[in-house]
Amino acid sequence: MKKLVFSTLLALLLASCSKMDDQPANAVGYRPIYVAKDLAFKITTEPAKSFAHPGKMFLYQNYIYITDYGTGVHIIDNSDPAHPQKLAFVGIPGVRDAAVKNGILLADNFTDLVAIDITDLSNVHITKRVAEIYPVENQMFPEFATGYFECVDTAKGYVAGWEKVNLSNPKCYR
Amino acid sequence: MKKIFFALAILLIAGIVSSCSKSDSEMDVPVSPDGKSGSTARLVIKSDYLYAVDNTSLKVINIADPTNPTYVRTVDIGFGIETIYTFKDYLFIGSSFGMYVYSLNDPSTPTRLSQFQHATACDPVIANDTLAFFTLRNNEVCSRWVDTREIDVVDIKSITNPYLRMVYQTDDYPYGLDMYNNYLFVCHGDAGLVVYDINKMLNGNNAKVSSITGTDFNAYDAIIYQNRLFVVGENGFYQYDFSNIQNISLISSILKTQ
Repeated sequence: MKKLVFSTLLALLLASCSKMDDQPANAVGYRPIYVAKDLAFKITTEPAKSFAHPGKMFLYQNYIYITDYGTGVHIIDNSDPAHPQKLAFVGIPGVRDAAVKNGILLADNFTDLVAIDITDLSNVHITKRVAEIYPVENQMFPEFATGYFECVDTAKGYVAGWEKVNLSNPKCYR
Repeated sequence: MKKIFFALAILLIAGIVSSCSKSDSEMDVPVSPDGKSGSTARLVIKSDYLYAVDNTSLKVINIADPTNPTYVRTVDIGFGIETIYTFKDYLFIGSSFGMYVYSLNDPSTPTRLSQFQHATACDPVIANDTLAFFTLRNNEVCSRWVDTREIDVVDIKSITNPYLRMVYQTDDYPYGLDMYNNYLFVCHGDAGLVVYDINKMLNGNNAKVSSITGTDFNAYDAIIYQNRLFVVGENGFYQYDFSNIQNISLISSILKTQ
């Protein structure tokens, strides 16, 4: 009986091991989109532009703030709801969420939380950076998907987003 | 004498009815001096504090002077944290395993009041005085075990002891949601947005009131603000007039192609 239990356990162990080694040559999965380290914490202002990956909304009085996944925040004037006007785009690499208080945009920028003064759109500037609020370990996999992905190489920079591609020899799985 | 008694009874009933309808109409009228985030948010503002969640914890940031946010503390919560929502002096935190309720009695130190557990699934959560709603789906990141597409209604009249009141099955995977009086507005991705009647839902009846669908229209998060419905999806942003709930009308949109 003991032998049977032992061999069953062994078989299970081997089966699980072989599954781990069973990596496909090709698979559809996610590849990191990197932002170089020297650009990752640069906040920029751009004229109004099209949405790329519209994400989360924040509404305050007559303004709408829409996060573009991993790249920045669109500022929209909604004083005339029939004709909302895009005013500007604040580039915040890696951004997922944003909120506004008293004209200050508060948003995540990879590991940090940044406070950005947007009261004058011709002079958008950072007033404070709270560093290392978000653990970098949480940014090493596509948070919205399971399956294969290309392992993150931190030497290439920070991961702003992910693109769905055909991967050859993917090593990482979630 | 009987007549007077009868008249008094009528007045009393009228008083009760009018007070009930009054409290109903006042409920959930979005007066938010802090602005409003969607149910899928991972960062919210509540007066002088900002609360941000990562996969396992809650960060408390003092923003009394928003130009100078200062880190206050980290509160460990659990695994699979996904969303954060505020209602009154509470934080509702949605995770892959359930919902956590924190008190903001001392806003610098959120303290856990209760938790409600469910099977693994993605779940933005919203709440009012008596009920919390979360949408559960098992697809994409949440692809575990059983296919799930449902709205769970949790009774939170006793905030320290929440219990499951109703599970409502939906046709399509639900995502972000918001509510207004007796109506629940739920995003269903490519299947659009569906409005549900909360009373019908609680009674186990078909609760579908109306929906917004269309080619290239998909909905991931919805917010009710200033009596309008704001929706965001992969293809852009939309705002609607829902004064006629049976026939929600588009006010404007900004599409990805614009």
